[in-house]
Amino acid sequence: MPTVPISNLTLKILTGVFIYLVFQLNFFSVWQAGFGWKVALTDAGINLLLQLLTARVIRNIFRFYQPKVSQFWAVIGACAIFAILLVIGAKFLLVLAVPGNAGYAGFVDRSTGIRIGFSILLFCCLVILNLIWNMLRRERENNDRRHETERLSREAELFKLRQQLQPHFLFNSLNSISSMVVSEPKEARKMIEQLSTFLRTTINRKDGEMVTLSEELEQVERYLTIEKLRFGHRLQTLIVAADDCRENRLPPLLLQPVVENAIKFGLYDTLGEVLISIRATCIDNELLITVNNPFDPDTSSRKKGTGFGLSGLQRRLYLLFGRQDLLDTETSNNQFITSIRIPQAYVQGNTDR
Amino acid sequence: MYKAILIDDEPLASNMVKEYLDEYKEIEVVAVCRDGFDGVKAIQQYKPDLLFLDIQMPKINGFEMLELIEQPPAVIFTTAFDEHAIKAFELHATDYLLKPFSQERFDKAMHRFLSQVRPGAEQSADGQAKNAGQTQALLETAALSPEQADRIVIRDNSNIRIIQVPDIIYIEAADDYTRIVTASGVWLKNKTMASFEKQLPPQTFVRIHRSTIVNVTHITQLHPHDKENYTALLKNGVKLTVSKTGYAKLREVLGMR
Repeated sequence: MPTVPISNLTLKILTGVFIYLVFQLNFFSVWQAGFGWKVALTDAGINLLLQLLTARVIRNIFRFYQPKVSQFWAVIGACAIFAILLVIGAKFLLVLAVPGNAGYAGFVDRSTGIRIGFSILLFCCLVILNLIWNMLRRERENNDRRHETERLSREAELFKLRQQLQPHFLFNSLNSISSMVVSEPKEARKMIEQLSTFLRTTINRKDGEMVTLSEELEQVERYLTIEKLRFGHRLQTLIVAADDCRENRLPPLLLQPVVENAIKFGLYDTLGEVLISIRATCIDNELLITVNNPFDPDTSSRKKGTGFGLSGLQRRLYLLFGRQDLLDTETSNNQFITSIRIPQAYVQGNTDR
Repeated sequence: MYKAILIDDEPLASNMVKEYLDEYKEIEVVAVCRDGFDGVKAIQQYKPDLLFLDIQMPKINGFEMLELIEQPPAVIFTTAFDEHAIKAFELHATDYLLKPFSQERFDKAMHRFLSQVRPGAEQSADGQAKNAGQTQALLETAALSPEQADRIVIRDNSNIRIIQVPDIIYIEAADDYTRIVTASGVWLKNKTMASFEKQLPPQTFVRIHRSTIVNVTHITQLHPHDKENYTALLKNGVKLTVSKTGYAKLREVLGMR
């Protein structure tokens, strides 16, 4: 909502009216002084031209220059000096424009003071109008930017939600359950429970709160249990975590996308059995988690680069810890290895927040 | 009796289709496959009338597998693909089933299939031709999807090969086939020049002649051949004929004004 209570158009009209009023005043003053309408018109006309020119110059200057509050009086002062110079210049022009009229020349001389006064008044008003004008424009730009930012963050939010819910995984799991309902009702019920707990945990986890390694691994395990049911014997998993690391903390759902990636490339890039292994150790106040999955260098490495869709994770780690070196990927013997390091000192300090 | 093959990388998903198919005595499930590679083999072996085909599968997806089949049978897609993505294919397939689906929905798809193939409902040969046309259009649409746009799946004898698009040097028409030339070999594919032209990125692949599409990064020289045509010399020494319109397209892509 604009805090300046007038619109751009109002400002333009105001400027026009202002200049016209000064012109009218100028004309009638000279006329009243007894110099005939021709001289009065010349006088007022020349002044009008100079004023319009000045208005234009002011507009152009303030289009790019926004004075600070402390410079306000300096700007008004500069404006006044400019007004005085312009009147002196106008004086010469006026005398030239009405040649051979000593009475008029004297009148111009005598009225210099009042002309300067009006000139200053006019220019100061123009400057102030321009400043308001600029404020309006900036406010409009800020508004646009804010709307754009809001839109982007809304989209990001939606994207995150979709990512969390992973429709493809969800629908395929439901399909598997549907298939088991008749043949293996007990298994089906177990799977529904697993899926529900997985979804509940995913939805409930907040971005800011750290979770323990045990909690995160439990969640990953639920996910893998469902995937194993879906893919049968093709998928084997191994989770190894050192006991003394289990209370280490990490951001929630950090491991999830890595494991999903491992499954995706492991299962969809190769044929036959696939072993996904997750190992967690802690050294030097750092929690190190590595995820291994097989992949086919011929079909995947070049296409997806080394990123493997992990740039989102890299970004998240950077936002959380301010470091770019926490995510590492390497390939050896058709194995893709993702390593994540979570600095524990930082995490501990942050959990109290 | 109609023969059906189920292709899905998830055993439970195939089980469900099999269970739903129990009611159809006229359908015999001759094979259940876990990926497109096995699928191709089974289709060659059994010449089925109907396929239940998952889209997301290991190595090559359902569409790419279909490309490798000479005369694809009727296809019912079974997929968890999100709905708007599959909408583009709706017109071309016999039907598509979004997982998880009910027996009722499944019956509808079967009804569609049966009314297409049952004698009397429609001329059988006509139905076949219609089917082939549908599948062709479907595959052309699928080839444009981002997942598939940067690779081409080909079959040479019993081997299936995945060619990365940047590896292609040029493609030329060869009777009913197209010949794909790469540094590692020459492959034939049953796909039209026009659909290759649509699939391949236009900033690298230019159709320089009615029967040639070239990867412009492989061109080293271009010179006039006769009044109408030009010759493009490739890095590997091959010379290709460039038609007048092809030359104009090349100039545009290479930024020669």
